Amino acid sequence: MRSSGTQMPNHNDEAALVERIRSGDETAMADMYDRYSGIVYGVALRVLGNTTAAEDVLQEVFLQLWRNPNAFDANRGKLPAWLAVIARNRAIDHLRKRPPEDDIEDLHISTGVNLEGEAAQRLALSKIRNVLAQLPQEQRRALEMAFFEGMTHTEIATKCGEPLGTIKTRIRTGLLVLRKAFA
Amino acid sequence: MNDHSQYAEMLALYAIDALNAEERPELETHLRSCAECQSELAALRGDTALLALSAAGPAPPRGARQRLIAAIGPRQAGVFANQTRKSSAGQRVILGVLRPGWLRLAPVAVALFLAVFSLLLWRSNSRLTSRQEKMQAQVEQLSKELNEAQQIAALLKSPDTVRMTLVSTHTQPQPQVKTMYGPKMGRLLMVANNLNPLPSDKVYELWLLPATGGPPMPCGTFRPDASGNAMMHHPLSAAGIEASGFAITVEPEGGSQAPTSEIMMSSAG
Repeated sequence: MRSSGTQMPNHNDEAALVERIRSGDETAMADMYDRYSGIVYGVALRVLGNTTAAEDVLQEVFLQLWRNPNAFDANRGKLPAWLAVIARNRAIDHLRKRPPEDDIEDLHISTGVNLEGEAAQRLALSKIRNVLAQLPQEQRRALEMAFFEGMTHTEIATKCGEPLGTIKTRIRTGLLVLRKAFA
Repeated sequence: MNDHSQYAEMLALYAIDALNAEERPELETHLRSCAECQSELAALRGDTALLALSAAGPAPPRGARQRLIAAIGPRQAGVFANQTRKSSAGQRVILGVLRPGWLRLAPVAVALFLAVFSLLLWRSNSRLTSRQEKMQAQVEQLSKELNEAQQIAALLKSPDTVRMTLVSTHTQPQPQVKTMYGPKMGRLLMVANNLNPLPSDKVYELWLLPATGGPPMPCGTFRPDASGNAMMHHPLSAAGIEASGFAITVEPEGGSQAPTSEIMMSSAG
């Protein structure tokens, strides 16, 4: 999952990694970057389609985590999943030219997917893409419009020329298909 | 979720951030008091995280890591730098997000620059003020001279001006003509008094006598008023020609290009 062939950090435990950041351990931030920059940058790039803006989001997310490591609660979710959603939200802020948030959200994110370590992440990523590829195109498109383009279900329905109920169903069932694949 | 089926789709939309703004308050109110829906929301957010992870993979720009190091601060820079494989040569400044170490000196540099700039402005201003004062003095002097010249001209041209030439008490008033000629300026001023009246078909004509000895050059015709006074002030086509003197003849109406009568008055030389 990392951007290049960096050595895997010794601290695989996310809670321990965040705890090191909380204690001001600079090497923990280096480990954090090497481990998760590909996720944060990839999500931001997908939303913004611009490398410069995507790097701004990348820097913003990591700096906010460095300044306020308590924003992530290991009991409330996995770090890579949390970072991915935070990166998406920040990127949408940039897309809409909203002023950047002062702090990152304390989101409760629950997933049973194993994202510990590079090998597990690669495996999960491959599976996610495979599941998405098997979704009906209009369902995948509805998910992407909502998540990566920041559109509301009303906007999606208008753009697609579909009833609101259809769009709502496509989005919910699409998310559930993803969940089921990792159940 | 059976008891909460009415919120099922709303929760999914809320998790993926696609719920309309006006629909959010109702759901958020419900969420505050419903642990089951809170749990389902966390699971749905986990699902959106999987969607997000599908975009993971592209490598950040090479300099991004180094820029993050610089943004975190100098204390951390050494640690990160040691782990950096290859750092980017150039750093892009992201204001509000990144503040490279050298940027901390920016206020000092800007203050220094402003101080030097202010000193240069002050010196320039002093020089300009001095020049302005000199020019102002020149303008005042010229204005004074112009005012005096205008007063003289007004006095000479005014029909109310009483012109008197004082002569010996034993002689009759004699015709008198005064000329002021500026060869470089090419202008001539002539003032005449006590001139004899002329027939209606005659005029007085003034001639410039060139210093080179050439033929007289016409300088204009004039008629005296009832008191025998006359004045001419005009530019000459003979500008630049030195004059040895001036002369006056009586010529036919319209003037002549060369004297046609005997010179009746001339300057002493």
